[in-house]
Amino acid sequence: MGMSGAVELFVEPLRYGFLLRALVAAVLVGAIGAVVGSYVVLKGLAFIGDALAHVAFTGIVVAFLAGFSFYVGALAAAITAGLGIGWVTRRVGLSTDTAIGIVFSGVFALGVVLMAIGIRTYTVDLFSYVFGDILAVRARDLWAIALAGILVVGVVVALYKELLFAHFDPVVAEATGLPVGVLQLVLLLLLSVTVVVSVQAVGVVLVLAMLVTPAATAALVARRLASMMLLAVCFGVLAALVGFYLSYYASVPSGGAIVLVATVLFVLVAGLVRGRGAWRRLTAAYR
Amino acid sequence: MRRWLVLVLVLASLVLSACARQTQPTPMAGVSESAVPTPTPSEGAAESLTPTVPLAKKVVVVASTSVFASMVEVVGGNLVEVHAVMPPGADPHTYQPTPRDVVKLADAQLVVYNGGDLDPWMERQLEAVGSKAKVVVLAEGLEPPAGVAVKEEHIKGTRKAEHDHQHAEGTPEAGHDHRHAEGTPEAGHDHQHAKETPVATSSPEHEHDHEHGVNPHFWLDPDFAVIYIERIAAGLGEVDPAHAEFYQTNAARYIEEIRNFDVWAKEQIASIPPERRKLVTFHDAFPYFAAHYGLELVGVVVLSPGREPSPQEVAQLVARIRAEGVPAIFVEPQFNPKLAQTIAQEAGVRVLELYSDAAPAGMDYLGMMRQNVTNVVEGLRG
Repeated sequence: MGMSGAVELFVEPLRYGFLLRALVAAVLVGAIGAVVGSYVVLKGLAFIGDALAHVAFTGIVVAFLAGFSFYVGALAAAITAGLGIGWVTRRVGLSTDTAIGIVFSGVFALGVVLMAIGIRTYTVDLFSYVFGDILAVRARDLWAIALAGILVVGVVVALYKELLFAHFDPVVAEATGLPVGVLQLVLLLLLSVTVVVSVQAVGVVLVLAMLVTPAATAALVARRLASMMLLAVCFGVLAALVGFYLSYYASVPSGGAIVLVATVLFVLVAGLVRGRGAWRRLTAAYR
Repeated sequence: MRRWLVLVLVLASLVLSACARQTQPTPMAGVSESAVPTPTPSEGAAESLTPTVPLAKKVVVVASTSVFASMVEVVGGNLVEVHAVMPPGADPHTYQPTPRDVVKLADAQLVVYNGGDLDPWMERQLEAVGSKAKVVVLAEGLEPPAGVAVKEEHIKGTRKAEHDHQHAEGTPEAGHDHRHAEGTPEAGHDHQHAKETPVATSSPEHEHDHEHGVNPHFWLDPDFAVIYIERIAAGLGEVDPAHAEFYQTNAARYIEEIRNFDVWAKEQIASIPPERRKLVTFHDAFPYFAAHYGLELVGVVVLSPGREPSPQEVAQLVARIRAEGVPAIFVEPQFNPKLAQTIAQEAGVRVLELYSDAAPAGMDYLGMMRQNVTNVVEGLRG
C-alpha cells in the first residue's frame, strides 16, 4: 500500500462532519477519562461511572415530569449525588465505594419509582436520553465535553499536589492545614460533571471504559501518578483512534469498537509486564 | 517509559495496517449488507413498469425502521435504494448504529421516520449529520381516531387524581368500556392536553415539538398506513419529480392491496366469537390496531418503554384477564417475554407473538400485518 493510500484510509471517514466530531469526541473522552480515571483506579472507585450514569437517569425523569431541560436535570442529579457521596463518606467514615453504592442505588430507585408514579401514558423511553451515541455528537455536545475537559485538566494541574495529598495522605494533609474535605469533594464533583457530560454525548459503555481501562493499563507500568496520567492519556487516545477507524472499516458500532481496543491494550500490557511489581510500587506510593 | 511508548506505537500501526488490509478489497461491504432485502409481493409488478436504473442514479432513502423501509421499497420500486437504520428485529429503543448506517443517512436524499415518541433519535441523528435530505415525518399531525383513548385507562384503580377521564377509574367495568365511552371531544382534549404540557418544548431534545402523550404506533391501523404510503409517494415525487407519476401508481396499487388485506383481516377477526375479541399486549403499541378491528384492549404489561409495572398493576392485569376471559397475551419479539409469560401462567392463558415496531426479517408491512391478524385469530378464536 502506498503512502497516499494510507493517508486516504485515514482521511476518508473524516469527509463527513459527524464522523469527524465522533472522532474528536472519542479522543477527548479518552484523554479526560484517563486523567480523572487515574484517581478512580488508584482509589478503587471504578463503580462510580456506572453509578453516575444511573443517577443521571433520575435527573432526567425529574426533568421530564417537572418540565425542564433533560441536560440540566442530569447534571443537577449528578452533582447532588457527588455531594451526597462526599457527605456519607465524611459523616460516618464509610469507604467511598460503599457510599457510592448507597447513593447510586437510592437515587436510581427514586427515579424508577417517580417514573411509575408520574408516567401514565405512552412516553418516549427516557433511558434513551441518558445514553448519547457517539455517532450523533452535535457541535454543542463537543463544546460541553471540551469545557468539562478544560475544567478537569485545569483543576488537576493547578491543584495537583493538594489533590494528591488530600486523597492519598489525608492525615498528613489535614495536619498541614489543607482543606481535605473540600478537596475530596472537588474531585467528586469534577468526576460527576465529566461522567454526565460525556455519557450524554457518547454513551455509557464508552465512558465507563475510558474512566477505568486506560488508567488501569497505565498503572501496570507507571511509577508515579503524573506519569500514570500521561501514559493513560496515550492509551485512551490510542484506543479512541484505533477503535474509531476499526468501527468505520469493519462497520460495527463505534463505542463498542473503541472499548474493545482499550481492553485488548490492557490485556496485551498485562501479559507483557513482569509480575505484579509495578502496580504494587504504585499503590504503595499512593495509599 | 520510552519503551512503552514505542510498544504503543508499534501496536497502533499493527492494528491499523491489519484492518486496512482486511477491508481494502471490499470497501463497501458494510453498505450492501445493510440494504433492505427486496422480496415483497408487489415488487414484481413494479419492476415490469420501469427500466433498470444504474445504482448511482437511484434515489437513496433511509428509513428509521424496517417496517417503513418496506413501505418505501414498495412505492419506489427499483428507482430507489432503501436502507433501514434499524435492522429487522432490533429494538428501536436501544439500537446503536454503525458508522456505515450514519453515512447512509448523511448521503440520503429522502429520510423517512415515524416521529413522536417512537424514534426521537432520528432527529438527533439528522441534526448531528447536518442532513440536507427531504424529511418525511410519517405520523406528523396525525390524531388518534375518535373513540381511541390515548391515556391511562389500562392502569385503572390507582392514583385517581392523575385521571381526568369522566369514567370511574376504580371499577373495571367502567374502565374497559373506553371505546364507547369516549367520543371525539374527549380524544381531542387528550391531544391538546399533551401539547400544552411544558415538557413538549422544554428540553434541548424537543425542538421539533413532539406530541408527547400521543401513542405513536399509527401504522398498525391500515387506515393510517394508507396515509403513510401517500406521504412516502409525495416525498419521493418531490425528490425525484421525473418519476412522480410512477410513485403515485405504485402507491395506489399498494393502497389497494392494503384495502384488500383489510377486508380479509376483518373477515378473519369476525370468525372470533365477539366475547373473545379481547387483546392484552406487551407494550402499548396496539390501541389503533385494536380500535380498527373492534378488539377490546383490556390491558398492557408495560405501559411505556422502561416503565416497570408495580406489583399492584400486575395483579390487576391478571385479575382483569381472568374476569374478562381474555384468551391470550401477546408478546413482541424485541422485548424480553419473561414478565408476560409469568402473567399468562398466573392467569392460565396462552402466549403468542405480535409485531409492531420491528417486522420479522424478510417481511414487508403487509406480511407483518397478515401475520399479526393470523396470530390474533389463532390466539383468541379458541
